[in-house]
Order: sequence, then structure tokens, then C-alpha cells
Amino acid sequence: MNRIWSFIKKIVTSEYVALVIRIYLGSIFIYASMSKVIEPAVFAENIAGYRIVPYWGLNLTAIILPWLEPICGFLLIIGLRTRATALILAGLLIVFTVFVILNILRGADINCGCLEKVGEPIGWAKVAQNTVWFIMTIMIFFFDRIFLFRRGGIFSRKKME
Amino acid sequence: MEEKSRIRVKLAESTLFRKISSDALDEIASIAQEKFYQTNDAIRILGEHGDSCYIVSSGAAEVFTKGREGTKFELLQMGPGDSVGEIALLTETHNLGAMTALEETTLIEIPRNGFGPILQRHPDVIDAVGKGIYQQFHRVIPAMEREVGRQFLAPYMSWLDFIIIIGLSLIVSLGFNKVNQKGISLFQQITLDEGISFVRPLEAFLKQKKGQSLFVDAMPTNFYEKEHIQGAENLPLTIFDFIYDMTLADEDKEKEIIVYGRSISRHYDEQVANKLSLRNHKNVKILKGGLSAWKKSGCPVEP
Repeated sequence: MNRIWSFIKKIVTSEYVALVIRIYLGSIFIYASMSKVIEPAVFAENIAGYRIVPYWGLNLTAIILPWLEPICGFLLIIGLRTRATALILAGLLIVFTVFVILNILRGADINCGCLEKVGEPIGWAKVAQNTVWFIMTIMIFFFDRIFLFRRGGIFSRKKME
Repeated sequence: MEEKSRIRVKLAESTLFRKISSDALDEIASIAQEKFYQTNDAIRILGEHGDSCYIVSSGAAEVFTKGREGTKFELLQMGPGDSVGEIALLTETHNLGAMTALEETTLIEIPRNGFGPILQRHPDVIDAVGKGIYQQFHRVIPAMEREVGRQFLAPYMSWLDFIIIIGLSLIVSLGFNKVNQKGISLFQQITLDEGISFVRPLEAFLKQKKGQSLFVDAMPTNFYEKEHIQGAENLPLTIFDFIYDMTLADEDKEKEIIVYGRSISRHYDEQVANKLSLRNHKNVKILKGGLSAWKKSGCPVEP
């Protein structure tokens, strides 16, 4: 059992795994933003369905959030300021998950608006998906070490002195 | 005696002492003792004074040290027959690696105290210990190289990063919204048409009982289906034109229409009321307080 645990720890703390996760998560958030950036009115309607964002903030959220996602996604992929980016995405995922859970408990039959404009109902599967992505952001925060954009370019690795 | 016999057998099977003479084995077994450890028990503490060599009799143990950032990295995994701490048999030293039992483990501990005379009487033991130390380095160095390769600096992070990322998102999003043909206003602003007024729930209920008014629910259909005022028509904002043509297009323009339906995020009732007014309905009213006020007043709803 301890050897299995030791193996799992090796995988979880691996900087190569963190790199793969970083690129995967970055791609997901860029993809998620694509439909929302062009049509903020539709995304605003999705957000309104959650009945949590106040009246005065609805349009601002629908305009700004779809751009925060691809910018963070791009930064993750190129490896620039990945810790700050991972924290921002972790915060977003917490907020999204709380919104989804609240509406599941209310029995609301609404569209998630996470990846697609329509046809993506909320549910516990969405909560699980967001939780997995949240864990990935934590892994990036703690274990991401290689192919990072530093002085010297993306392929330099700054070793400890 | 049984313990000593057991120890002697394990010593003879160990990588360290399998090639030494029988007499040397007897002498080492006489000073060695068995020690038992449970899973996760600490066997050696990093940096502590080391004065014994350990041979794994059964079970498994892990030897590790700590990196610069305090992260643990593994040097060796040990099974039956493996040994650690050979240098401690020759000289005073401090533990360069900590050791923990990975499962229930039995170790044979050979103290430096009492080992000196054995070395003097049995030169083959000197040879065995020397080879043991060499093999130890041979096993540890690749593990250290592997771990050192992982010790890259963590990415830099500061408050400025957050300010730049969020600031950049604000600038790009607001700029894009301005040029986007499908852009929206920064804030929802609804100006009610002249002639649209508000009606209180009890007053509206009386009109409903007399059949004087038509009720329109402006919420999205999934909310309408959960609950709505009895007899209300659903006219969601997003598909207003389509539903209006099917339901209210032929309605008398003088007939009173009471619109309700708002949430913390959207005032659907105001937007639908404006649209009805644009369609020349002269007598459009909005239910004050919406469905929640209607229910609080004790007026009936249906799924």
C-alpha cells in the first residue's frame, strides 16, 4: 500500500505531469471562451439563469469574464506567470462550482454556459469536472517547473543555486 | 539462541556479508540484534548521530533526505538483504539520510561498538564493508542526480502579476466590446415606456378573479414551468417575437396586460412590458414585487 502511495505521490508531484496539465487546462479555458467572447448577450442570459449575479453587474461580468479565461489559458500554455494564473483560475472554478451547486439545490433547470452556449445542463457531473480542474490548478501552482517563459526564453530552466 | 540463529541466517543471506567466513558471521551475529518496526516508524533520523549498520531482514524501508526547499526526496528503497549505514561501522558519522519503515519491517542492527575487534580478526569483513560502501554510493548517486534534476526554481509570483492579468483582461474585453457588432452595454438600463405603470399583487388578484386582465410571465420557460400565476401566458424575452405572434398578436390592444417576472439578475418584466407597449398594447402594467410579492400576499400559483 505504501509503495502504491509513494508511486502516486511521484506522479502527482511530477513537473512533467504539471506541464501536461498546464497545457490541457490552458486549452480548455481558451476553448470555453470562444463562444462567449463573440456573443456576450447570450452569455449574459446564461449568467442571469443562475440568479446570483446582481442586476448592475450582469453585463460587466458577461463582457469581462470571457476574456479573462482565454488570457489565463494563453499564459498557462506559454508558461508565463503560471502561478498567478493558476490561482486566478482556481478562484474562478470555486465560484463556478458554488454557483452550480446552489442551483442544483434550488432544482433549477438551467444551462451551464461553461463550455457551450446551449445544451450543457448543470448537474453533479459538472461539479465533479470543475473539482478535477480545480485540483489541476493546485498541481500547477505547486509543481509546475519546466518550459516556463523566463528571461532566456521558454526553453531555459533556472536551476537552484 | 533462536534469535541469534535467525540473525546469523539473515546475515549470511545479506548482500553485505554473504561472502564472509563462517567464523566472522558468528561473531557479527553475537553483537547484532533484531529490531521490529511498524509501518511509517522512523528508523533513522536525518542528521542524528549514526552508530549502527542496518540490514533488512523482512519488510521494506525507505531512505530519504530533504532538498533545498524542504521537499523530501527518496534515495533508496530497501528490501530483504539490503543494508544501510555501512560507514557507521568504521567511523563516527551523522545520518546523511533518514529511514522509515514502509510496512512491518524487521531489521538487524549491527552496532559499531564491538565491531572493531571483528574487523581486526577478519580482513574479509573489511573487504565486505568497503564493497558495501561502494555499492551504496553506486545506488544513491543516480537517485540524487534524478532528484537534483527536479529541483528547478518555482515560478516567480507577485501581486503585480494579478494586477497585470486582470487589468489586461479589463482593457481587452472593454475594447473588444466597443468594436463588437454584438457588443452589449456595460450596465443594464431599461427606461419604461410612458403609460406603463405598476399594480400591487392584491389589486391584480382581484382583476384576475374578475377576468379583467391577461397575465404574462416574462421569465424563461424552465422557470415558468416550475411555478407561475394561474392562467398566465409564458412570453420569455429571448423568444418574444415568436411566442407573441402565436399567442397575443390577435389580442385586443386595449385589454389590460399585467406582466411579471424578474430575478436578482434580470428585470424581464420591464423589458417584456416595453416590447408589448411597442406592439401598441395601451394598457400594460407591471406586477409590483413580482411573483414573490404575489405569493407573499397569499395569491395562488400553479406549476
